[in-house]
Amino acid sequence: MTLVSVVVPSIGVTGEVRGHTRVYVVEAVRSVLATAHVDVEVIVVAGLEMPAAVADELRGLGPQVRLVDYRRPFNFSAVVNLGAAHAAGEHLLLLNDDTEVVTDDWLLKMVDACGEGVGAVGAKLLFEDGTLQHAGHTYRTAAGHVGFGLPGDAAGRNGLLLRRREVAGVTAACMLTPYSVFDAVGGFTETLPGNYNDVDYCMKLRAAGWSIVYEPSAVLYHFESRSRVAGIKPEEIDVIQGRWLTQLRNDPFTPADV
Amino acid sequence: MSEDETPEQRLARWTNTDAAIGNAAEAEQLRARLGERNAEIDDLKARLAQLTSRVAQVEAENSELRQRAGRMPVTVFVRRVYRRGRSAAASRLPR
Repeated sequence: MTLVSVVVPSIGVTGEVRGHTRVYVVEAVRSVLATAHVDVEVIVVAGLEMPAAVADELRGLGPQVRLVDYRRPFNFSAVVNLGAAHAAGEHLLLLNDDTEVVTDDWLLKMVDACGEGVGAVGAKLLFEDGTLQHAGHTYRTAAGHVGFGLPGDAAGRNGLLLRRREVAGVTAACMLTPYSVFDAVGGFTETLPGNYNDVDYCMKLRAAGWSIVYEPSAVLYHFESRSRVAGIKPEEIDVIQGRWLTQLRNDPFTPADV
Repeated sequence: MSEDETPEQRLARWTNTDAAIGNAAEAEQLRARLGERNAEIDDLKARLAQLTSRVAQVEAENSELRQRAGRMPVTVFVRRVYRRGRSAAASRLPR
């Protein structure tokens, strides 16, 4: 049976969801373990800031949960790569710690969508209020989320938000990718420590001939603020455009006005 | 991917792979930009050639018009019209 290595970068932040305080990563891992329905190992890549109590609580969630310490200045790509370097699964599932599974068979659906020639699979991500945060990326003048802000059950034009389909890219907040693919393209680029590293990863996959798939029946909450300021640096734009500007001008998968 | 590889070795290998892919992608972008600029230069050159040709054509036409204007004889008809006009104007002058 397929082993999926779930890689969760975290510093053990606490926040409020639906009026209750939670340690995001603990609840995210708990929800993964409760709904996986495939063999999983969970690798939490713990930043130095993670409280010892949170680390202990994570270890107590089960033998599938491992912690790997990350001791360098924050670089999301380096964190993901470190977790992946310790993984043993046939698939990697990159997961933000501020998530919670909604649909029970989400991981089965994502693995099922990850067929021959597929390099990455993304899920449907909802904000806490149930509106749509992510249904695949679309790249034109900028990188955007398809259907951003629509009701979570919106169909979109021709039902494109409700069907499994090829997209230009998917967010690393929840991304399944075959380990062999991740290995072949050298993981996430550490030249993009904060933004666009998932865009770059998807571009690397597409350039190598793999497709990217959005799986709408895999639904998770992503408790990211709707008003989050990405804090994109000019040098990040230089890197992503320096590598992929031609491809970023043209999204062959999503109509421009969606 | 080797089973014997340590995580550190994997990370080092991935860094090299990513750098190679990144360099190739950047080179491809530069080639694409170069191609676009070359096409733009070719287009501008073609438009410049069209305009240069048109300028020469209009100058040649002007030159011919100037020559025809210089050669044009004052005809009897024009002289009559001129005299009639001069006479009419003179008749309106106060005596």
